[in-house]
Amino acid sequence: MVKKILALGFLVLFSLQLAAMDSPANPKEKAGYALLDLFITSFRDMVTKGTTEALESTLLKMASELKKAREAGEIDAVFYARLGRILAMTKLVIVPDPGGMLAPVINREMLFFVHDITGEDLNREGGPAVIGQVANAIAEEILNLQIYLDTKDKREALRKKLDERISGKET
Amino acid sequence: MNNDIKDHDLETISALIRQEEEDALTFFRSRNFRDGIERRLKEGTGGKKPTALSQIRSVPVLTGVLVVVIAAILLLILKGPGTAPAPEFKALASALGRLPGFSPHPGREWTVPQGQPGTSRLAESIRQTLITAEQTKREEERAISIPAGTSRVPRLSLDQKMEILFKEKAIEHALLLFKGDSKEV
Repeated sequence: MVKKILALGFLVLFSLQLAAMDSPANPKEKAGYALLDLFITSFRDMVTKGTTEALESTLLKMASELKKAREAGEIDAVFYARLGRILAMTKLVIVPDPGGMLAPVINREMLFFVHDITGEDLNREGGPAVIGQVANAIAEEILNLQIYLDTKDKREALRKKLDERISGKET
Repeated sequence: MNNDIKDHDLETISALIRQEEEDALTFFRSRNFRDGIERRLKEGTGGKKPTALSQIRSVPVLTGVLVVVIAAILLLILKGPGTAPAPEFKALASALGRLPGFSPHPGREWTVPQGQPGTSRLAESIRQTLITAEQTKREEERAISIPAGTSRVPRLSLDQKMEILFKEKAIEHALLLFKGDSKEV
């Protein structure tokens, strides 16, 4: 009997853990979390399959969903702008530029992006080293956006509290 | 006495010189050298008349011809928008046409823009070319089917995300894979 109760208890705990994993820290930001998940799982799938055929269509889908979510008011302007920048940066990395016509624009945007997110300067040698820097900055920004969504309620509460304190409403 | 003799000799010598000059002049005029030169020139050119090219070899004529040519070119340029595209328009359209998403539809040629007041012809050409390219790009974008939404995406925990992003480095590997596939790094 005790064993059965213990087993049931473990099962309940496991189910709770799974439920906690599935439900985001901030349920109101469901669309934002879904977009971040889509980005991450798409890249993992491409690496697992060893092909990047889906990269263009993934970016297109992401851009479309991002726009829809913004229009529906499911994500705020900050999230929209920052995830939009990640998509644009990814697109710039993969855009074909055989004549090097876009190189000055791409390099400048990469430089700004990497410096804004990680504070690094771009590797002068270029090539895979720079792609590594940009990818790392994208990963960092994804994480920043995750934390942004997780703490959005707290930030808004803090902001409200601060506003009240400034206006003298707080007792 | 000696002075009288000298004066007489001088007068005689002067008279002789004058006589010689007159004789020489008479002989020169009798031979008609101008006619002779013209006759010799005609013999040299084979009796042909001077050509038009030889006639315009003087500086004023050449200057006049140049002025006429420049005026004709200016008239052609200032004639206003015609049916044939301007060279700068052709060059720009050609350059933009090579860019991805900037190709005109089959059967639709680049059209020469009509000038608008306050804008130069080149600026108007650029504006119209970009508008056409933008329309083409939008039509091409509409033709691309966008995959389904985010509803079927598995939800990831923060740990899973961290692992995929920083341990597996999925983004870096995917981008390098893409560059490897497209033979461009």
